[in-house]
Amino acid sequence: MLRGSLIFTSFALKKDIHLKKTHIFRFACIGIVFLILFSSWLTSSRISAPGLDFFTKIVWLNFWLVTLAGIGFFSTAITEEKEEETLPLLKLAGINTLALLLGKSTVRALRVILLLLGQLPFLMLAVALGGITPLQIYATIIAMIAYVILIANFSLLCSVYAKRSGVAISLVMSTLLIFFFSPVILTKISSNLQSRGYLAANDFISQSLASYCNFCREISIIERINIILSTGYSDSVMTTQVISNFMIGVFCFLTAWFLFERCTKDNSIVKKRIWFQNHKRKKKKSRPGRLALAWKDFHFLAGGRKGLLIKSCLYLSVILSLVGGGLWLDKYSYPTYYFSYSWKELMRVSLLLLVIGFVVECTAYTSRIFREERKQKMLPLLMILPHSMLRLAYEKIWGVSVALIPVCIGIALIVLIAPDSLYNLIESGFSSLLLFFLIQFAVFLHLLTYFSILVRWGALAFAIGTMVLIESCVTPFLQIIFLLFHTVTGETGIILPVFYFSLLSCFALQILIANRLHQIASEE
Amino acid sequence: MKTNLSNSGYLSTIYLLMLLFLYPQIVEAIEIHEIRWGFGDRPVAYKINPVTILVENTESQPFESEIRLQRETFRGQQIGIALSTTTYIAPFEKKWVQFYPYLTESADNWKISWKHGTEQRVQSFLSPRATASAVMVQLIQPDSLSKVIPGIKQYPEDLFPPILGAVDPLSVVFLDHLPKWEKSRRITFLQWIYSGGIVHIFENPNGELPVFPESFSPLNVSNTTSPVQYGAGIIHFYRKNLAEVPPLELKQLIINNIHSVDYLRTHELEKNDFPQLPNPSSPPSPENSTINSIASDEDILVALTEMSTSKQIWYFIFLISFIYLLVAGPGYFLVTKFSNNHYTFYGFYLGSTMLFCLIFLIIGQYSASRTSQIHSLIIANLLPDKEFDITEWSSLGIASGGNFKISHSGDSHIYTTCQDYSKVNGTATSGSEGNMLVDIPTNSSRSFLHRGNIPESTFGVSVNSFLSNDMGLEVLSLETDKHFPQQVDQVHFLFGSKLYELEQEGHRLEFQGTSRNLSSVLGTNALLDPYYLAPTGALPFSRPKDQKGVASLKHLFPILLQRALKLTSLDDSRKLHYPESQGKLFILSAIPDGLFLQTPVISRKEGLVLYCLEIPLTRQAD
Repeated sequence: MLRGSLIFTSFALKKDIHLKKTHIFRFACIGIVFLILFSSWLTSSRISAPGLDFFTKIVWLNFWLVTLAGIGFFSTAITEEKEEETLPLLKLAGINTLALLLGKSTVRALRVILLLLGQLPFLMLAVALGGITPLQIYATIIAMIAYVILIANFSLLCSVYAKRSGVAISLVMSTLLIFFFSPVILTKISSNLQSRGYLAANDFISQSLASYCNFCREISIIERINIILSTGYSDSVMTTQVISNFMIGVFCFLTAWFLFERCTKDNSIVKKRIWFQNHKRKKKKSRPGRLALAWKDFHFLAGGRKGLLIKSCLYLSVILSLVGGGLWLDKYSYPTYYFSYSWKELMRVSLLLLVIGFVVECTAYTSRIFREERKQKMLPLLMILPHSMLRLAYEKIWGVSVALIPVCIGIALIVLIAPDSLYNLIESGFSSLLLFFLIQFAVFLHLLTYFSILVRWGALAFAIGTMVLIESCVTPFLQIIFLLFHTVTGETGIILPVFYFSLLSCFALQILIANRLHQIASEE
Repeated sequence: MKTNLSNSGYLSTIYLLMLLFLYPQIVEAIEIHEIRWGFGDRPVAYKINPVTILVENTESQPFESEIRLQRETFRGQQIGIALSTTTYIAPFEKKWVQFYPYLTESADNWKISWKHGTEQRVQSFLSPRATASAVMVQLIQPDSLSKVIPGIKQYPEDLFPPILGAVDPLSVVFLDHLPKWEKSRRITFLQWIYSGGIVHIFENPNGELPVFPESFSPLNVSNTTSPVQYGAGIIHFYRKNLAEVPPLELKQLIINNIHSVDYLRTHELEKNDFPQLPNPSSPPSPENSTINSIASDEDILVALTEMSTSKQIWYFIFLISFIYLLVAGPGYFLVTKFSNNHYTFYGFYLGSTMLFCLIFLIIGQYSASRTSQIHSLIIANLLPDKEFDITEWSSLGIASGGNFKISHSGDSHIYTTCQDYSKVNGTATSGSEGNMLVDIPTNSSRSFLHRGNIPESTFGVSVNSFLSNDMGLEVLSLETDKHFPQQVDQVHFLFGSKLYELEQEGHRLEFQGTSRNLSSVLGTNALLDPYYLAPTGALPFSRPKDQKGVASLKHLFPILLQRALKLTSLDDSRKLHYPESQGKLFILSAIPDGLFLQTPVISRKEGLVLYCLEIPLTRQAD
């Protein structure tokens, strides 16, 4: 049985090495590491421990890429087969569950592990640069491999359980968010409640919270990397994090194997989708005018008038409840060492939340702006409309922009009522980098749109990953340029080219998006 | 109804938890009311400046804890080392707390943090943009209502730093009363004058020049007439009330007085923001260009780090790296063309990875430093009370990493890392127990700048014979005592605008006829030579390892000289003309053990010290 199961894995591995793109991708990844090594060598005289600095950059880059791979790459292993409705065919071909899981998921994990191993020779050069020991490098690589096993198999479990890729991605993303951020949030809440006298330091809830936070930290790769990179690290490479991540990974794999048949028996995606569409159709009340596409996107993508109303209420209640609630909390509790909340600070927090809301909304709409048409195979119909591509695109953007009105009004309201909240944000040093952040966000949205029509799932993960990679590649170049010319040009001479380069990238991406849309339309 | 109630309770709990998380700000046991950057809120770039904060203890319990000051980027990343001080503040009392950070030209974000119980509290401040030229201030009594003089900042005398290293940004002080100072501040003030400070003493509101006690003896007008030369410093006395002199007249008066003593000082003064007089003959030069024309502290530290870094075969390393890139790209692809068996590919992949890992590991182990070492450059100015005023640049290379306490003998120490890019894990404390606690990883280095007073056995030099003419020095013979440094490398004497080379003959230093213009010596900046030591040079590959072998600390003598003369630009060196009545002796020698760091114990120490002595030339002798 095992031999039979491994045939599919072996086939996947064999197929993988004959793909040109695999080689190009591997070469690019190792090349990036070399580039960062070169830039670290250039600046080595000005940094106390250049080897440690170089290694730290690579380790965190790997962490982000593995995490994004978990969200966008591992979590679609089974769901893509479900959505393509090819799973019954695979079963008919006699491929058993184990073979399917190994071939679809474990091979993906192996690819990532092989990529990590491919970087290892350059990582060993960090020893020559100074500031790190070989033991720290081995410990980090082992910890990272254990993390890949954990995330690959957990994503596989989510992929087996979920019926659609979107659900699987959401499950993985939310679990990772809870896993990494809950200890921080719970510790803050616990200490807050303790300071107000609601909790005692040694009661059951506090102790339970502390135990949970400790457990999360013990098995967290982030904590592990921080410990490994500290000076004088001399622990074993086999730590609690490595063993626990490996064990949880194996457990997730076994659970996925156990649940596979049960979760793949009934394929009701199509039914649900039809119901969802019918349900939506029933809700339509108004008629499209001249701007039919804008109307469509406003109603179907951004939630329409009802969505506007709900969001308006939500944002308004956020502002009112946070500002009012903060003052209320202070009135009815007796903090031992807490400030009374000033309403300006509360407004600033509200502003920050609304800005986050704006970013999230923009990201959500952008990722779906062309994807829905692509999924419903509507792009050929769009293309035959007597409008230019530019008009189609801007009409769609206009449609979703209307949906941003509540959040924009919320931001404007806060700025009008408490201008200090905005000034504080600008005076805190962001003013010089504001333009930089805005243009980077614009590039990110363009990338997201491009990936949403290029890949089937995980466009967000791909876009974030590409941004991280681009930043990693461009930073060494910028560092080199800065070192060579900073005496002549100053900092502006570096920031402005980056701005113009980003602007050019946006135009280039727009062309790529248009070409891709034409290509999809002609293929369909 | 019941369900609704339970739902609302559930929602309230979530809401409460959300609020608690969103508003983590905590009431501080202490509050920071005021922050003063440098002297009169005019910090000077590339110098250690005093930063004074007014702290209030708002609680009924006394506050006794550590307060830290740390520079950070606007994204919240820490840069450089955290400065730390432990202070005691009585309940409901206010107290001034002083830090001594090294500031650069940019306006930076600074974070002040302290501990309250188990929680860390933080408050951020934006520093003003530092200026390039040294400042002049009028010392005033705290809370006094002295008349503000345009162009001259007022500075409360009780905030005057008690450490000489922190007074570097100050060039001129105006005084019209007797400052009420404890011993440490009094000594620091006199040491600052001796090191080159200028003091202008005016009459007090009663129309009398202030009478200084014995401890301020050089400032007492009854001893002699104005101006008084004290070491490299000058004290001017004016029979006028400072508040009644118009600003332009005041400036003209001061410039005329200084012209008669020292041209350089006039130049320094003109660069300050004193009300400017029209001077069409000298076009203004941009401040940045003057700063960049001399070696910065960071450049010196980088050069020392280069020297202390173990030899690495980078050409070979990059050659092997390139080969690995070829293997990782086209190599693996070709393997798939030659063999259809994927096991061959994966075998080759893992095998080549292991092989290159082994090669790079061997290179790394070969390159790793096996002994801890320190490379230092020191300028030691002899102070009147048998102490050396030390300015030290050091790079400490560590073979086996850990937390290290860097400390020196003597008192009044200030440590800084002059780090403009990355964070330094550690804290620096200043004062009599000043030290730097720092984390240095294995096979890496930590460079730092140290200012301090060290009572190392000082030596004396007296004039045996001296003869000069219009062209310069003709004869000079100096007598040294038994404490004179043993391993002397070079001895130079600055007279007028020339540097005269002296030869050591027993206990005598004799001028043998070799001299050079000071500007030509100072124009040789080893750090700016791309073929010598160019850590930030345009051609990174043009620093072969054999150049490092040739490069030695001796070649950095011109830089030490620049710094010893406190020049801010190469233009200054051309205009510098030492007064006829005085000369300056420079002795370049190996650093004695007493001037090296006390902890950690380092077996391999290398370094040069430039001793600087003011030599009064009151008579022509033969």
